[in-house]
This record gives sequence, structure tokens and C-alpha cells, in this order.
Amino acid sequence: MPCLSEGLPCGLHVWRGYSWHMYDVDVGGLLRRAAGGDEQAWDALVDRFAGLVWAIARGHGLNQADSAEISRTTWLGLAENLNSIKAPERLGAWLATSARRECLRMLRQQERYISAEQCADGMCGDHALALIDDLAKRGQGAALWSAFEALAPDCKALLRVLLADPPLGYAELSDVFEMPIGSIGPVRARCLDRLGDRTALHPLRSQGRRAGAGTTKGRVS
Amino acid sequence: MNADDEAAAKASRIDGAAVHLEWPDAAEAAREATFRRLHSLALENDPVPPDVLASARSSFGLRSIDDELAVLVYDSMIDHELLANVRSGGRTVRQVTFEAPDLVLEMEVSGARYLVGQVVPSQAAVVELRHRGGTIQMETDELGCFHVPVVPDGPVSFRCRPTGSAARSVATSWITL
Repeated sequence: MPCLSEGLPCGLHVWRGYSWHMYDVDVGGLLRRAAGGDEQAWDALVDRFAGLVWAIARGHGLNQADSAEISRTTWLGLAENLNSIKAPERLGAWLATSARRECLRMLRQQERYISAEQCADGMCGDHALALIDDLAKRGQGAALWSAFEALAPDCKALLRVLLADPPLGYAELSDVFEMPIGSIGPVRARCLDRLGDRTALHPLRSQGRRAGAGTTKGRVS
Repeated sequence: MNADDEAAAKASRIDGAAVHLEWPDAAEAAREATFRRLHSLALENDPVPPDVLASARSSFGLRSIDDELAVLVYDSMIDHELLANVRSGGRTVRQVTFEAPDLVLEMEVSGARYLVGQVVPSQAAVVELRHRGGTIQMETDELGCFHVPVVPDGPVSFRCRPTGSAARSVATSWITL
């Protein structure tokens, strides 16, 4: 069965869209060793979670330079707190929360916080125009990525973290984003549907003035 | 949706035991296909840059092993309501407070990145500002006041060593001001 290619039940593998091999890492052990001065253990922690921290920053719409700064601050913060992490198994959530807090602070400082009012139909800023261009010239992959970049902040932040390797579990996401655990699945679905609608096979038709987010409701029912 | 997905969707619909693994309908299959395409696009378009990874690794060497950690207990930037009240000459002033068991560091940073700080309780101390490019060392006055003309970009940490006291030096957590 093709979907068992990585030894995972099909639904799990396909649903998450990433491999789970990294879950074998003993985070508690690595933390203890790093706290004791073991640099290799630290590097292993960085290798495991750098993508997550990066995803948080990028998901908040920060550019590469700002995201690099968020990442640096977050890792310096962990280095200072190696001895005070109380729940090693939740280190991912700790890093994500710390990175997210820095992002919100930076966005506020730069007065770039995008309010929902600046977004029409779930897409923000100039990205909507770029999207039409991409669809016409560069094909669906580029269009999908542009559509993703243009997503409203709530969708983008959540999806970007779900795309990280490894992503956080729903319980941790619920803490980090301060949203009920039960709403994560539906929000994820709504955001993906929005992207799917915008990059469907007939781009210009689906790009037209359809009835906003309502398009997804009809399909799911 | 590729052929594998279709097969998977069909198979899990037939196999009633795998309740939570099945695709309920075509919409969900399409949604998951979108997710998988996004996942490979994220790997391709937005990987962690090598210098970001290197910087994360090197932060290990910047731990302040022997210092007492002063944690951020107040940041006006976090508090919307207070922010509105803290304005001088139309520019926002950011206030932050770091607290260690025996010492508090209070600071104000203007929009022009000019920083004024004070060690509480008032005492003379040597303050070291650590940043990406190195360190800036300064001495406070006898009341514990110090200032930095232009705070460097990026994360910074302050290390404070009271003069004339055997107390451990204190280092603040890293913050981007």
C-alpha cells in the first residue's frame, strides 16, 4: 500500500504530511546534557526545533531579517533558561510561545500589526494582485505559495507552524495561540479550503468575486 | 489529487474500522492535498537559512553561567493600555523592568533608541550591554543611573555587577529593544 511507505498508518501520514521520525529524540535528556554544558546536545536541540521557531516568525509575516532576529532572541532565551524548563516534553511549545511573544512585540513596535480590517475576503495587502499574476505566469505551485503568503494573519500563523518539521501537537498549539483545542482543526480546514479555492484549476474563475469564505461551507456540508 | 490519494481515500472508506483515519469526503481529500503541496513548497521556498541555524547554535556560548538571571517582569510594549499613557513628545517610550532576587534593573528606551536605566536599590555598579557585535561597558553614577546613546539592533542583554560588593553579578534575559 503506497501510503505505508514510511511505516505509518495512511491517514496519519497523509493527514499530517510530514514524517514522524524526529519524535524519537529524547528532549529531556538533551536539555539536561545541554544544561550541563554539552554543546552537542544543544546543537541537537537546535537541529530539532530551529524549523519550528523559524515557522513561527515567518508565519507572523516577518521578513527574513526580522525572523532571524526573532530566532536569535528565542535561542538566547533558551540558553539562559536551560535549567528552568519545567516540562521538557513541552519544549516545542515553550520555544513557540517565546518566539510568538517576540513576534507580537516586534510587530507592535514596528506598528505593522495587521488588523483584520486590512484584509478583504481573507487575503491581505498587495498579495492579492501578485496572486493573479502568479496564476497566469508561474503556475500553480507559485500561485499556491503566493496565496499562502497573502492569507489573513490568523490563518497564516497557524498553517505555517503546522508546516514546520516537526509541527506542534494540537494541545501545544492551543496553548501557543491561545485558542480552544477544538477550534484548531476547523480553523485549519477553513484556511486550507480558502487556499484551495483560490488556486483551483480555473484560477481566474475562482479568483473572481465569489462569495468569500462562504464558498467552503457549501463544499464541506 | 493523485492516484495514491484516491486509492487511500477509497480504501479507508471501505475499511470502516479506521474511523478517524478515513477521508469523510472529497473536500477533505482536496484540503489535505493542498496541505501536502504547501508542505513541500515550505521546504523549498522558506527553509531555515544557514546563518540563522549557525546563530542559534552559537547562542550556547553566550550563556551567563555564573550570573544570577534577571527576568523581564514588565514591558510596556506588551501592555496596550499602558502604552497609550507613556508618550513623550509624541514618541513612544518603552519601559522595561528586569528582576533578580536582590536587584532590579529599570530602563526606558525612547523612539530614537536612547536608553536611560537605573539599578534598584540605588548603588554604583558596572553595567555591560551585550549585543550581537560585542559588549559596551559603562559605570553607573552613585545612584545607579546609566545611559546608552543608541541601543544596538537585535537582541541585547545587560549584565550588572555592583561595585564594592561581593554579590554575584546579574544578567538580564535577552530582549530586542
